[in-house]
Amino acid sequence: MAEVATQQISKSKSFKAAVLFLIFLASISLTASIIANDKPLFVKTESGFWFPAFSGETYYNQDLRFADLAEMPSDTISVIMPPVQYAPGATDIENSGFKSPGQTQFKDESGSRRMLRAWERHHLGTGKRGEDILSGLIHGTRISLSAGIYCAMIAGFIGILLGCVAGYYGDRGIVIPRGIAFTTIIGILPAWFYAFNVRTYLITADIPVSTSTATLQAMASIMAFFAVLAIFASLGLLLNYIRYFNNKVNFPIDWVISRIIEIVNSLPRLIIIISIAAISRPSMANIIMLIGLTYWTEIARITRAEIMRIRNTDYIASAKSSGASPWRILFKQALPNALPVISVSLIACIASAILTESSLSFLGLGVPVDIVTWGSLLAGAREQFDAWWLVVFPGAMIFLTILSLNKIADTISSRS
Amino acid sequence: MTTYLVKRLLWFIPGVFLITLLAFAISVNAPGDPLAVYKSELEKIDTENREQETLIVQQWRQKLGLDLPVFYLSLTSVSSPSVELTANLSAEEKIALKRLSFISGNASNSKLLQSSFYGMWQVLADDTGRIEEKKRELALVRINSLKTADNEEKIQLLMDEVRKLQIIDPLFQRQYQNSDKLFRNWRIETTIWKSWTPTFQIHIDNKYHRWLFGDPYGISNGVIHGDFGKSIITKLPVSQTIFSRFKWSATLAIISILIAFVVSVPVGVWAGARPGSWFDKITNLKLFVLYCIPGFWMGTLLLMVFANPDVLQWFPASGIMPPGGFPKEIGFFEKMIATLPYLVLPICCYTYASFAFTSRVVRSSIRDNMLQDHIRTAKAKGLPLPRIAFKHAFRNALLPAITVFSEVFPMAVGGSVIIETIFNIPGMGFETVQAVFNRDYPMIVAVCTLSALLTMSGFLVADILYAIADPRIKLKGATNG
Repeated sequence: MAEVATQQISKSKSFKAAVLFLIFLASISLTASIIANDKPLFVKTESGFWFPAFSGETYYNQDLRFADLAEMPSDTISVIMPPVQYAPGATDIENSGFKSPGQTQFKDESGSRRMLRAWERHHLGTGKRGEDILSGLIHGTRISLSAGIYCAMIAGFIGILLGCVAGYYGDRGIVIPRGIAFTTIIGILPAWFYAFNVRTYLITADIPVSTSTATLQAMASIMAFFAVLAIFASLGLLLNYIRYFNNKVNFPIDWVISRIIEIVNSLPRLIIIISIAAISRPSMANIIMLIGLTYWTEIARITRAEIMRIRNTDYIASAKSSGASPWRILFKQALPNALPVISVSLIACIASAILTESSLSFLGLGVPVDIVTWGSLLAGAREQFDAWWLVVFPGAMIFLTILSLNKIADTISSRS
Repeated sequence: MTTYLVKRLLWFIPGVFLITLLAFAISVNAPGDPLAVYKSELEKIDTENREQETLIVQQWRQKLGLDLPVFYLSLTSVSSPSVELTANLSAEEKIALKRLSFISGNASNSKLLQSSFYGMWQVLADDTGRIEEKKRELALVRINSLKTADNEEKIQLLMDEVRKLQIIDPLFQRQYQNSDKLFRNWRIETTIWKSWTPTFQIHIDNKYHRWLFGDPYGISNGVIHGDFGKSIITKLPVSQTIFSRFKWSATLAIISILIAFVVSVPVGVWAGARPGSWFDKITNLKLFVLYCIPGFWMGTLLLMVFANPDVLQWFPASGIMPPGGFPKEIGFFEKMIATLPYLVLPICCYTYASFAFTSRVVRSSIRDNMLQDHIRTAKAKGLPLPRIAFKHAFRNALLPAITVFSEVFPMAVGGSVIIETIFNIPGMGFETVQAVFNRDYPMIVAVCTLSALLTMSGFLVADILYAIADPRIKLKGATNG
């Protein structure tokens, strides 16, 4: 079945085109700093050679940029520049004020003004400060794609985990002795105290220094939370000797998770992201985190429904009867079979994350000013609508990316 | 049915609670001094001497509830400083005091230590020329950082630096000796077990309560009565501004949803009735592409083409009324006509996304319905296709179209942020963006709360409509399916 579906999918021309386009984008984003950079790829002089674009090395104690090529030391033998010789967002005074792709473009070379040669031109025009649009688009690809993928990772982790647990266990799947339930509930407060109250300083002190260590500290806190809960749960085992506490109770995990999904779903995402971005410092990591934390509900909902369907199939029943542990069944049997459906929602999540990220940078909210993205390039056109190249190219990139992602999701969901 | 409605209405409450918590968290964490808003009122009072000034500021802090606990419940360590100890401290000093108390496990010692630094600072600040000016300034800088120092090494370092300045004023020396003694005490008399012991407290009077229900001094009536405070920028009550903004957002959203429904349902029905026909193929492709166009790109493209003097200047580029406002003598109807050209582009922009979305849903739902037995019977009877599609299949296919309403409503509220900003329409979304740029926190909180409430109401209405329209719903299990 799966093979037939895969064959059918790969026959679709538009699907192929969409996949090829995304591969193209991915390769651009991986090689962005080689394709578009104002530092040379390779410099050879009599005293040796350098790779400034890769190493960020300074050359004769100064940043070697395209603009400085005329003032290169005289012992230079050869210089190889990247195909696009501009850095994203770098000011070019000679070509400032919205130069269209076809317009004559100039370069100031040691005082005299000359026209740019064909390979030196701003191929897709410039913005207000003369920033190169093509270079911005190339580097924006990296930002958009990574924002989409990171968001999908965060949302996917939360969504798949909660969806699996809700779908697999249902309302009657988790049966625990009353004693353990009792001590676990009591344990929530101390667990919260030891995991978060005591460690607040450790987490918050790291946020300005490095986001990654702060994240690690936060993860450690979450682990501490569950560790303390586990200690309290094992205390509950002692209560088993009392008959009252030995009776079994149901924990309606599905009900709880479904209600959480409902509530989070009914919040207006964009407005909440904007409001939270207003009180925190603008940073890409914050935006990605916020988008990821608000988009998991759809993935959770779909995973839950799919796992619930798979739970009632025969092969799960046979795995259960052969004594496999619930987690083994979930991750070895149920999840791989639910993957086509889940991947559709993950791809849709990437698309909406990219859309949200570019909307935010279009509005100029929450995203640092110095980062050039597709959305911020498009926003440049709001000052001057004559600059069609600022509207068409970045917008088309966003549109085509969303279109390909949705096309892939659509094809997978209709054929599998 | 009634039980379902009651249940659904009850489920509205935790959502609202969550939203108020979120909005409150934003308003509490907003940077800046809350007292600054009332500065103009503070300045009216004559503040000749410092004592009177601090007294008045203290009164205001108490009135505004700045030193109250944040929420009904609090979970802290036994050693953490009580509300009385942290009163009248700045935010940084508060954090430093909490940290010091946690390290030593002794809140009162930490408080004494911190206030002794304040004593040193006071001596230097009140000094009239006895201490050398250069030394005094250097010492003041050190002591200012001492007041917010939050660990032992930092205090030790700063104290040493102050000692090395060798200020030989007897008054200052006495204060310094005092601080030094307290610092030694603070290091010795530790009760660290207290820091690691949790306590759980309940506070009836707290910041959240006052924010929600108003305070006893009548400064705020509370969010529950629609009082979100005053805007930092315009100094007008926020709720007043919001209402005038909401009018425009609601008008645009309602008009565009209606247009989208009127157009999309027939298109969806006709495409879904004959799957595989040329009409179906073309509309499907077009709708898919339309669905993928980002709203802000569509808006900018529309402006570039239809409001550009170089291309086609059919419509005005921004705003909602002629520059300079309406002439006074014209009536409501003329006003409408004058506004109309301004609304065309935004409404197009609003409509296309929900149009594409709704048509696709209606189409797939009709397509599924066309395979059912009663449709086959109708076909066998020889009824014409339009009659089958719009009469027999349409009724059943309308149900998913209702759920679409729940998706479209938040789209209108959330999507309005982008469209209103592009077209400069003074609605809720435009106001949100302006408030964020102006750092107008009361406004942000109000817009956030209200749009969340509106979105949730949209879902509620859709759910109730669905329950009314579909008699088959097993109402009890409706939320579990």
